[in-house]
Amino acid sequence: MSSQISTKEKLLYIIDDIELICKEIIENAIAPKSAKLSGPEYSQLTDLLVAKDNELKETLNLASEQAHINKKLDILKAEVDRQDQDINHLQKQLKEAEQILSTAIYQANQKLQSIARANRRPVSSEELIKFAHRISASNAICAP
Amino acid sequence: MDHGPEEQPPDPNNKRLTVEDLNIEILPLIYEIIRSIEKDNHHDNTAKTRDSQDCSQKVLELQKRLDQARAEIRMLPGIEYSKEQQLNHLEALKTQLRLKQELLQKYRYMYPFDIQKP
Repeated sequence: MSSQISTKEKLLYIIDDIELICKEIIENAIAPKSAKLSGPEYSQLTDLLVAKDNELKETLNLASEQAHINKKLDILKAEVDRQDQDINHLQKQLKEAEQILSTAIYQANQKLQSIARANRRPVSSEELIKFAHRISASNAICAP
Repeated sequence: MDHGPEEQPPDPNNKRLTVEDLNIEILPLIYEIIRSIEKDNHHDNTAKTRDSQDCSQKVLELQKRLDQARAEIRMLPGIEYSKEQQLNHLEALKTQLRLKQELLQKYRYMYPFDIQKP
């Protein structure tokens, strides 16, 4: 498949061929009678020129179809680029969500651990209130 | 083909050419050159010099038209590949677009955080 010739190259080759044939025809027209091509050869040359001209026109039609397809390709590429942007955006949001969630889970874990610690050594609420009164009575910031 | 040659509007903002902008009529020029070369042989001297000038002008014009055609062909859009390669590229892009859209659909509309009540 990769050995297929591009339409651009094909068109340029045809133009080169047409140029060569034209040069031959013109040289033949200005050549002296002794050097002129014979009748059948000359008609072969002109037939070849006409055939090349037709080939050129067909290839130009193909080029026009390809230009049409190229427009569709451009639209598709734009769509794919948009999807790429959306995917990148979504990826960033997912990463952010992952970070926030992992922080939240860590903090919830800490809270659970401190709840477990508290449950291991329960303290009655009257004792807590007594301590609180003593602390505020002496204007301290922690228990003595 | 859906459009005729006369219906393509020229696009001034687009540097690219359409095929219809090309002037690739070689055969009429060649015919005129050959005719004027052959006419050459039948006239007197004054007409001959004029005709040969005419002739060389036409040959130059032919050369110019060929070169211009080459330059314009290089500017045509979409012909860097053969038609088959281009169509394959189109299919590949379509598949890529479909896959990416499905991916986005999947992640936008899934509900990972529906907590199942025990």
